[in-house]
Amino acid sequence: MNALQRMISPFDASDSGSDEHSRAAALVTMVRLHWFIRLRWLFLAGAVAVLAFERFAIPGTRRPMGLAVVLAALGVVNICWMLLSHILLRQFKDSAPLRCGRFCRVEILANAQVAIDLLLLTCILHFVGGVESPLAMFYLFHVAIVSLLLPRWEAVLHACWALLLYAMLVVSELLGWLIPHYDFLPKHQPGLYDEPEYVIASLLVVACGIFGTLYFTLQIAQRLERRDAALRKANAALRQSQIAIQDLQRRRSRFMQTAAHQLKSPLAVIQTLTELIRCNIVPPEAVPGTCEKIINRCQEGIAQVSELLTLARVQEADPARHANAEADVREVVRQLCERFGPVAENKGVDLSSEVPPAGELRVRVEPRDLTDCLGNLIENAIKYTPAPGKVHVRVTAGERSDGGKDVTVEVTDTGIGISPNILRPKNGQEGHEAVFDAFRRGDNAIAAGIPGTGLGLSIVQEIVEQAGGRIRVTSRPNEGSSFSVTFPMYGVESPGPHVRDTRASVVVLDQSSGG
Amino acid sequence: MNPSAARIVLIDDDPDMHHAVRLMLEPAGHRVDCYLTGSAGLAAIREAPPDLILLDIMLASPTEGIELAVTLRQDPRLASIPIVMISSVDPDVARDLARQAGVDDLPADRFLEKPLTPTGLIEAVRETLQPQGEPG
Repeated sequence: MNALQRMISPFDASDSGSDEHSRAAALVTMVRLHWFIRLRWLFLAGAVAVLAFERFAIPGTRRPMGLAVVLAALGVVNICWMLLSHILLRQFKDSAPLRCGRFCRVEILANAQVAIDLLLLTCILHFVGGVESPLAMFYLFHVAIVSLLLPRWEAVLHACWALLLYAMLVVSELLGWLIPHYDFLPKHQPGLYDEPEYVIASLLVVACGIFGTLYFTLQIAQRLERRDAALRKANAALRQSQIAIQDLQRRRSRFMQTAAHQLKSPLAVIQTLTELIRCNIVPPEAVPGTCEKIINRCQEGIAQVSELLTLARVQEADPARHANAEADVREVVRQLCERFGPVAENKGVDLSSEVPPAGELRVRVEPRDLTDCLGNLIENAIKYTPAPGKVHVRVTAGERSDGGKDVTVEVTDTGIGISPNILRPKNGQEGHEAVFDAFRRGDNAIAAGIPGTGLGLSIVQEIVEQAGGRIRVTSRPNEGSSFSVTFPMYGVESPGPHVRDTRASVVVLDQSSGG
Repeated sequence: MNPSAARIVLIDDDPDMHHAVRLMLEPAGHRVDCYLTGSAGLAAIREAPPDLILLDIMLASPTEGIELAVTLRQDPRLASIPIVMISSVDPDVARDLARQAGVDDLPADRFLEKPLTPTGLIEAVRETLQPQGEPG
């Protein structure tokens, strides 16, 4: 069944969802029926012209009166079809129901037209030579049209109807039943109509022609239907991706807005404070302190720009780059502890690490990304842990339920914890993104006056997501936080679709309410 | 009330802004109480309603300042306190943020775009306090 047939078929449009579809399909069928009506007028004009030419150019030619009667009947029938089409079209415009019982009105009209056309064709054939007439090939034309226009079983019925009419015609002429035989060319009388071998051979050829045409046209229709379905599917996917792109653009513009605001904040403070110094509003003893603030804000601005650049680099990169990447967690953690050890010590925070001494600890992540990711977590932990406090980095290798292996790095601190307002899902929506939102900072972090860009966790989340890992955060205000990131182990399973398909899942346990 | 000696509450998540605003307004005789978060500021306002509120728009969320102003406007006891909004976004973006927060216009008497200048801020504070100062 091709797409059009499926849409107008009596079994398909039963649900209201496809009503729109069936109306569109019915309209297409109506347009085609209009085209057939014009084609019939063309055929009639051609037939009349040929007959007139024959009459005057070849003197003595006489066609039976019946032929004129059949042609007149075709004209009358065609006028009826025109009127019916108009009525149907008006009903269609008035949004009247398309269906009459089980069947679609347009489909009934199409079936009736084809059946009567075949009958009239057989009559014409009878008056112009019967089995001897080459006009039998018009059957094939009709069969091809019905296979494209109507459902499969209806097309088969029409093919059988055509063959039955032809068989009745030629057999009747052969056996001399009811109807006389008229020659194709009145002057020549080959007299083949009463040769049983010729009649049987003709019947066989016409039958092969009819069913061959039926078969091939239905095959083409089926292929068209498949292509149409694929096209519609692609169209739907395209529409969906368009919506996704629009959403992305909206989010991006909101991000740009926030980023611009965040970048402007330190600059605005720098300008205001500088202006205050210039206008001598700052008392002389407060000038060094104010300059210190200005320098700090400059550093903050620079840090923001570098983190924005890191985020842009991570977001822009092809997620597939992690598939063949390899980073040694043992080495990266050692380097980071070396880097942040003095920072922690200065602050009075004890930074310790616990890494298995032996065993595979390589993961499928770009080394630079892994350093950024773990570095951000360790830096945050130290930053939000007041002295005396502890930051502990623990590395473990584990097996997943699906048989794969991964490496988990857990960074636990005894710091100020995360404000419950950014640990809860936003607006009750699914997902727990608030804490990972760019520029989003906890109330307690701001209240404690700890400088931060609010971009670190966005970078961490982006890296984990792209590498097909998982991130988990638990926190209790004033007691500490624990972030754990899990990455797939290197070389355990073949990289590929797994990496692309896996989305990071963020599980946030808000324990503050229970504690 | 004397407009040249008002009690002002500043809510801004930037501690350096507190420093700058104090430097600008305290010499004029005003008392400036500064709060880093919306919740702390709201609690202080409810406890002792000030003469003027200086309110940053983007606090913990991009629209928290606007939401806070709406809350203040809906409180009959606090609705008459003039609000001067200060933000590093321009007025058009501020109005967009207001729409995002579900209000047609900025729920504030004045809007000042950062960076603040001493004359701009002092002028805005004086003008905003004036209409209330005259009848009293």
